[in-house]
Amino acid sequence: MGDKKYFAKTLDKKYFVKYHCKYKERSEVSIMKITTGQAARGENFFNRPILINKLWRKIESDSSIIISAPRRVGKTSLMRYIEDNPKDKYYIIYVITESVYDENKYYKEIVKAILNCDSIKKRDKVVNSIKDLAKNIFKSIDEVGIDSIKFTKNIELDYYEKFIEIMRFIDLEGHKLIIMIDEFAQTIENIQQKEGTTYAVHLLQSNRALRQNSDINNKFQFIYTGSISLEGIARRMDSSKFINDLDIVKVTPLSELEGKSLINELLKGLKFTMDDDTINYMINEIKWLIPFYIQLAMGKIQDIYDENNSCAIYNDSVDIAIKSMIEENNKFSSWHERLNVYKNNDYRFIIEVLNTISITEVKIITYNEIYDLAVRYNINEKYKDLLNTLIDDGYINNDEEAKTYTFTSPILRMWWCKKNAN
Amino acid sequence: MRTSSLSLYNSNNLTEQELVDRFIIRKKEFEKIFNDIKNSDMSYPEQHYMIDAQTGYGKTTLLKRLYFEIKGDKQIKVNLIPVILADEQYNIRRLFTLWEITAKHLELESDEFSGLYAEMDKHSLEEDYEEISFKILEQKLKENNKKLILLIDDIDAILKKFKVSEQQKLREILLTSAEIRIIGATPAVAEFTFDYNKPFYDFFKIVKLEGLTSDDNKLFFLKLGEVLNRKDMNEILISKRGKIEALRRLTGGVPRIMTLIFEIISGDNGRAFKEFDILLDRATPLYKYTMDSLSPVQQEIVDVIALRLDAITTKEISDKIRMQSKEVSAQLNQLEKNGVINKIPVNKKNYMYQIKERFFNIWYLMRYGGEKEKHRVLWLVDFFESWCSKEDLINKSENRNQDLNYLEKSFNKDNNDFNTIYLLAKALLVNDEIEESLKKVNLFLKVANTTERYNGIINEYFIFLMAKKQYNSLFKLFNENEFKLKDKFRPTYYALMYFMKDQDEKFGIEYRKIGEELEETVEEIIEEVKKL
Repeated sequence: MGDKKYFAKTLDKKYFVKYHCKYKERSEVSIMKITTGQAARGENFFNRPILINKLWRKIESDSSIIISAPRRVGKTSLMRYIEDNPKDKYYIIYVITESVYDENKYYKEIVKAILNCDSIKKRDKVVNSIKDLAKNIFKSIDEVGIDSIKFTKNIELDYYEKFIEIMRFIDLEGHKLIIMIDEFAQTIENIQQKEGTTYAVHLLQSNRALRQNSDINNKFQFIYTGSISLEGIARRMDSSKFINDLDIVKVTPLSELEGKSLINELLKGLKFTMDDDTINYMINEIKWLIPFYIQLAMGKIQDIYDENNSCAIYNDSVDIAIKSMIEENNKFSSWHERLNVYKNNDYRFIIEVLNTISITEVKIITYNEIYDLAVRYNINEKYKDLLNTLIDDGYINNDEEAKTYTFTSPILRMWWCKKNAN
Repeated sequence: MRTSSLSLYNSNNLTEQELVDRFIIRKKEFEKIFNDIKNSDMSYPEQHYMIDAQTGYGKTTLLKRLYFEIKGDKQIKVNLIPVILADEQYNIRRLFTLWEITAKHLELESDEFSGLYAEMDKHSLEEDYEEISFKILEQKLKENNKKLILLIDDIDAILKKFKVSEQQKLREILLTSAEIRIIGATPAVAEFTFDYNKPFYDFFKIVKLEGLTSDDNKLFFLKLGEVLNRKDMNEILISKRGKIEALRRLTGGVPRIMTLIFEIISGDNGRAFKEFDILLDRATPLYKYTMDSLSPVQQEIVDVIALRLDAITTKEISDKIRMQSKEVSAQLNQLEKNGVINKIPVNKKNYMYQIKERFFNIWYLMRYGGEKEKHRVLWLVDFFESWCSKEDLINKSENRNQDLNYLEKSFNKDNNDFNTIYLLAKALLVNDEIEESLKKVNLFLKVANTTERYNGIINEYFIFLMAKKQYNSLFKLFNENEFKLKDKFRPTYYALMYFMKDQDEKFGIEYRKIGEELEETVEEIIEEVKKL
């Protein structure tokens, strides 16, 4: 009960805050909004020039790419930013294939996206080229027009072949087509569930064949991403070789500086203030600075503000916000559920490593302790792979010098500890 | 004929003006969502909302209030058009029917959309109809330069009927289309948004509607009084403060139940019991439906859980109904999924269960419980009423200089008078003569055992005992069955478990059994103990 009372620390501060709040209300500054469910776009996207430049460098080196990162790090937002802000000489297409359950539908979605691509439609010459193409290639097309490509009923085309034909004949006026496929791994999983592993692997193969088709691969590149790991699902189907030509761009968490900058950006649109000490405190408490955690914490602080109208936020409110994030089990339970893909002793080993870190007083586990656990679970051969996966997926990070491992984020550690307590 | 306040507050019976005028609770939630809608230009796909609330918490009213505000706001109605789909949309079984029904509603909302459904229907035999129907809807919105705010009541009932691929498709649409924004409401938010393997995992921004606080309730009653032209509402709120609070806590502050309480409380006088009995009668149709919709085995399990009132383990349930734990577990999972019960973890493997809607549990005890169960509820009502009308204990604790000699003399003269024994025990306790004080406790408990009228001040003694950190002595008292203290002073018992939870794991588990209806009071008792 007492926790719910938040007051500015001193009278002076209260007056400052009162004035400041009013000022903020009057000026109606609303730049970036807290975004926790939807991809952040436009002014809600937190610009990360280093990451974006890295991605463009890879694109410009003609590679097809996997954007790799754990859930909620901001992969989709990054793709949409690239789509909304293309460089010259590039057409960007964003396709989400989460609800696709067969290979032909997958290529149909891509073909449709190309024919209806907004940035292409701005260029008359390319549009005409597409219209001609469509008439020649899709003799079955009823109508070709802006946003209204309609295919004749009941004639099932081979869209993989149509994609190749389009690419062979389309005149992009020296532009390159970047085809971004969101939830690609989900599509693979859908097909695996519905039609079996052979068909799922076939989609990986056919994508690779397109990327390696020298007749056409100078006109397009693929960027794949999704909320489940493509590398993981390919490995489980023993098909990593079909994606090993892809360049990987890892979306890393924000640096401290970026984290602070994101908080300050969000504060511009909010009616409360946070001084530098409080921002530093929050950064330190979250530590693993993925935009989602910061947005979530700011959302909780907004709730505290709504409840109490205390315009200045200090450490005590940050503590309550973080506690309430952890208590909302659903926000973190996926960290546990994702591990279900590991079986038997692999699973037991991983869980024990994480449990050990969460409950020891120093909140770390040493390399020697990990090795001892590997021996216990009889996985000496592959424990290093498992450890690296935990690092790649954002669970833990290591201090190479001290040979110790700890949770990436104190929040995740606290949640894990609470889960164990239950 | 007398007008019922319940019907006066049922959003289905209200005109737009009445609904807006009477909208007094859920204002914060309304402003939060509406301000976001107002300040979003929807140039990109926006954050979708899900209002999470049990039946009777006001989610339909909130959706309607949003609908009217969007429709009536001169500034935003230029660009936004709201459509509201009421609950029980039995005909929406496929994703394309959602778009068809939306089209029909849009036609009713504005002439700009006339012919929209017919346009869709022309393509109904095509293979990609689901996709085409949405494209046509989207195109029409673009042509009319309008963004759609789609308010869907009981959205879970619709999503549940969709195939997984349709749910995935809907998510794709909501992620990519800037023409539509969904504000849903559901009593079963967990099923769709908290499961990592489901398409809508973490997708919606959740706005949870809680039970009314004491302050919310005051405003709510004043508004009801105003609507019903009760000029004496302020006096009623003062004179019946304890009674209203007791019933609010017992019912979890569910607005629909609070309107029943209003009706009863603003009638004649009497103790809370009387009002309580009328309230139970009024709630019967609401809860009987819940029981009738369960299978016979589920009814049996719910009976066991409800009669226990506090949380109960799977093993205890299976022992009681002589069914294998595995079978009981399967039924419990189903009941949890349907929102009838709550699961509370005991340790890594085991769980305890309790009835989710606490007033439903109370209703069940009073309707189907034996004398013992009914007494537990009545003691609780009594406890709440006396707790909520009590004076400040701190002032009482300062009265240290009681004349112990005088009190002891009185006690020696008459050791059968409750007040005499109690005052001496209390004075001894306040003066840190704890052992002597404890010796008197059994005496005054014995004298008071046949009546409830001393329970309020006996509870004060227990609170002082905890403040003096005499947890184990108090625990011993609670375990003496003769006085049924656990049943008579349940909130205090759980406060004691709070203070003892670090002493042994079993007290921690016991503390977790606490029902939601007790939480606020237990927290207050803990605070009180800490303050003393």
